[in-house]
Amino acid sequence: MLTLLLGALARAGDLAAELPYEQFTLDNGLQVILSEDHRLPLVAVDLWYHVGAAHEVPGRSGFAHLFEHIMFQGSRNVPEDQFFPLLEAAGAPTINGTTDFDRTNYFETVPANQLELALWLESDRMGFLLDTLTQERLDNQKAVVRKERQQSTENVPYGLAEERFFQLLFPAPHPYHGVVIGSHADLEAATLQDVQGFFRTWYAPNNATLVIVGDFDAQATRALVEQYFASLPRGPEPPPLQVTTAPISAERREALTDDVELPKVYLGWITSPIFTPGDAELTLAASVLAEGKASRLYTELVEKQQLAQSVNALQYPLTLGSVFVVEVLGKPGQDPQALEDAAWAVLQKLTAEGPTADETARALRTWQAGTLRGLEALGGFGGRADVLNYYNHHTGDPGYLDEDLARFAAVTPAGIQATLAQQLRADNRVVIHVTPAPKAAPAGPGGTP
Amino acid sequence: MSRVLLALLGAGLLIPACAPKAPPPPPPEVPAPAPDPEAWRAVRPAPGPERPWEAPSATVFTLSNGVEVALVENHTLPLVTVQVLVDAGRLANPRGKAGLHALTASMLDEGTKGRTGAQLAAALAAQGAELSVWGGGDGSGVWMNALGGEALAPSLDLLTEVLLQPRFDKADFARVKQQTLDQLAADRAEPRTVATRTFSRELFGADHPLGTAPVGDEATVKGLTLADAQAFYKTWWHAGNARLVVVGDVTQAELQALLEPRLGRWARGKATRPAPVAPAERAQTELLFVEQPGAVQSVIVVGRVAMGRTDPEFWPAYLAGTLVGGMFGSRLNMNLREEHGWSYGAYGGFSEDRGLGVFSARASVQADKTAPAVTEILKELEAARRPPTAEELQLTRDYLARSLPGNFETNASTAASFAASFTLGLGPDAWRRYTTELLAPDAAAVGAAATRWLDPAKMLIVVVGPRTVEVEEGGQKRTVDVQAELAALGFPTPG
Repeated sequence: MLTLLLGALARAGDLAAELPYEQFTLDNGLQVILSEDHRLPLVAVDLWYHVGAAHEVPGRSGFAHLFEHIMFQGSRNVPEDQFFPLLEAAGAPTINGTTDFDRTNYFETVPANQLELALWLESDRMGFLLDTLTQERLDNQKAVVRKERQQSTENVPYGLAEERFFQLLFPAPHPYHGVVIGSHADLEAATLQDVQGFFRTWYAPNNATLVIVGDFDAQATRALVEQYFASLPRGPEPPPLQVTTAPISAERREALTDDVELPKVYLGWITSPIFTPGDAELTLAASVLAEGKASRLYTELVEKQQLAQSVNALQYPLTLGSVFVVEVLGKPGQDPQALEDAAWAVLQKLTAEGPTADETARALRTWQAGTLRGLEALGGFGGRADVLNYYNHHTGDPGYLDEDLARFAAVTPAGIQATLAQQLRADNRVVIHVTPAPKAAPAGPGGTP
Repeated sequence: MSRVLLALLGAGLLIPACAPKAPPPPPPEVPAPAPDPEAWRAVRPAPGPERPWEAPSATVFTLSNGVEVALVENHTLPLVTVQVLVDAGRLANPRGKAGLHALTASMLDEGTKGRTGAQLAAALAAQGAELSVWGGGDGSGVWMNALGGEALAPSLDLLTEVLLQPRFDKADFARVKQQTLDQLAADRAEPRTVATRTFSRELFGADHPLGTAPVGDEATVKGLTLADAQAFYKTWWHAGNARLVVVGDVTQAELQALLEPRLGRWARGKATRPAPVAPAERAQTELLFVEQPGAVQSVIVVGRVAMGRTDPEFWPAYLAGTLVGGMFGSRLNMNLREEHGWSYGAYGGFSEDRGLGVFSARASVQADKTAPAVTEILKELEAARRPPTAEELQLTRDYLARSLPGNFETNASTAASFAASFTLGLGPDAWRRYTTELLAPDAAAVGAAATRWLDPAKMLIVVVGPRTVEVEEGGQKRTVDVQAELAALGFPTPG
């Protein structure tokens, strides 16, 4: 099965050799991972804080992400609104931050001669964010984040259904309840004290991992990292996440109407947590179901029955329980129940007979090729720096790539079948039907709420 | 001072500035503070010496049938990206058949003479290759990300089948056409798409090839037939109208040997892209409001027809556009996001097209601030007509010039960069000249280009949002009449 990829890789050696790194920990607990790569005169700096929306307290949904915004607003030595312009003037092709349920990251790719600027910026906000925090800065970013919520969740078709989907899967007070961006009410309620407390609890060097990939000398860079980060005080030991994810014991189902043109159905399950047995099987099962024009849901629902405009399936791997989702976007006027029945029939058939050896091999090859492509970029969303951080965050081993490849290579059709039978059942699923709202007269006053 | 503040925060005692003055607490009995060991951080580190670096250039060779191939070798990983560029975009469509080029492209991965669409997809996946087809604004093509080494030849076999022997099955066509129509219907619920399409239509006119979205519109797509797609393919998808960009783990000798027996037998035809005709310049700023019932934000697009990428005025205008809206720290974003908090982001700039380009500024804003946001955007355009300060111009140039290596981090981004320069006819060393060209215009030239091209009196404004919106201020609900506030700005509606 692996011969093709291995053939392709024979020219470059094995993959672990493709991603060399060295690792050390400062006295204050900051983990540092360095990987030299001299292809381009660039350096990617990628700082993961081991805190995400999962660590929010009830009534503060969206806080981890709001906090991420605050991190760009200036710190003791970085003037307000200068974080981006300083990096842009330096010629940084990538500057961003992302908040997920399990972690938050901050990254910038800079010209190699500007690495010190990036370390200065990151260390200043790690050590001295609160010095310059004001109510005004907080209020401004609350407003911006609420606009982001409107733009990414409310003003896009099906955005609210996706939020509801997570609410049904993980009832409150589970921290995966809803979307990472949070609710307007909770965002509005956030106080300066919340920001200060969150910073002290989670944004300490001993709860962060700094990955640097690119055109630098490791010895000199180690000295720079020590210069900028070693004096930042260690924080209290971050409290362990004490959440139990309740399994779903009876189907949860909801029908919504929305300002959309096409009906849509979501089927969802809580599945094996990330990197636990079953996770790889379900990742490949999602590919067999909906990746490309040879996939089962596509050929059956889009091509043959022509009930659906598009289909999607995904294993979204998470620490407190992954989410497996099947999405069916229906043709105009289709009954959501008919879409659900058709998708469920495909899933039941796959569960009953298992994927073929060919299907499994194709899904694996596609995953392998995607993983290889993930090693192209130095930084940014999912480049080398993120790969090292991702493995480190979830397994404690930044060099887990080869084991991950082995984990996927070991997946069998029978293993996929057994995992499907065990985890994707009718009695432990969440189902959402979205039906287009009746059209309001376009010229009428008011409009739909 | 900052140490004191930190101590206050540490005790959770941050006192709001507006709090009534309490008698000062007795001074704490602490010794005079030692010099701050972190004071050195106040000095921002200076950059080190710039690393000498030259942007990649392409090696260009020609197959026996005249197909030009631009190769950029990258042997870091066993991966190869192939981009086939067919010079057939909206301008190639016959009158009344908008969307034909896109529908034709969509048929190419629906199977070949020897394989159904599903069989083709399975064969590609078995090689670890992903292939997509596209019919865009000013071109069509096929994109393939393949594994290198021994997987490359069978992947290129499949690509060749796609290009030379498309299936054009009748049932497939009916399904793909219906999918396009259903997508067009679904897009009506997507305010940003509605705004983009309305903007193009009003900017160029409904009859202009560039006035319709690449996908076409419902009326034209309904009329398209399988025979139309086959004829379009025959006319435009030929060796004389196609170019390849290849990036990755393959040498020129290897690639030439792989391509010649495959794409070297692609027949040449005659059709070449006609140049676009510029519409008449707008005499005054006009505003079109499109109601999107239930929307919580308004999408604003402000812009005009502008020059092509090879026009002498392009670079000074491009610098002005970047300064206004090309960076996070640009004026539009700083105004609408950071200063006012009305938007998650506001951006703008000049497109890099052939012959005719577009300047546009865009933002999604909270609905009750729609009219004020339009006013702010126009204000920023007016302000940009004054020559920029030396500092601001320097920042913009530095950003563009120094971030260039970021274009070449992946095979896909490298291929996209060379596809653009290849299509524009800029030659294989376009990216080596980029920095020199970019640094040439001075502040006066940038100001002059902005005066001509960012004139707020000659813009088209499109707003897609709710007619009215309820806001709550201090417990009081109030209805904001978005449409009336826009009308009060006094801009005529495009005729």
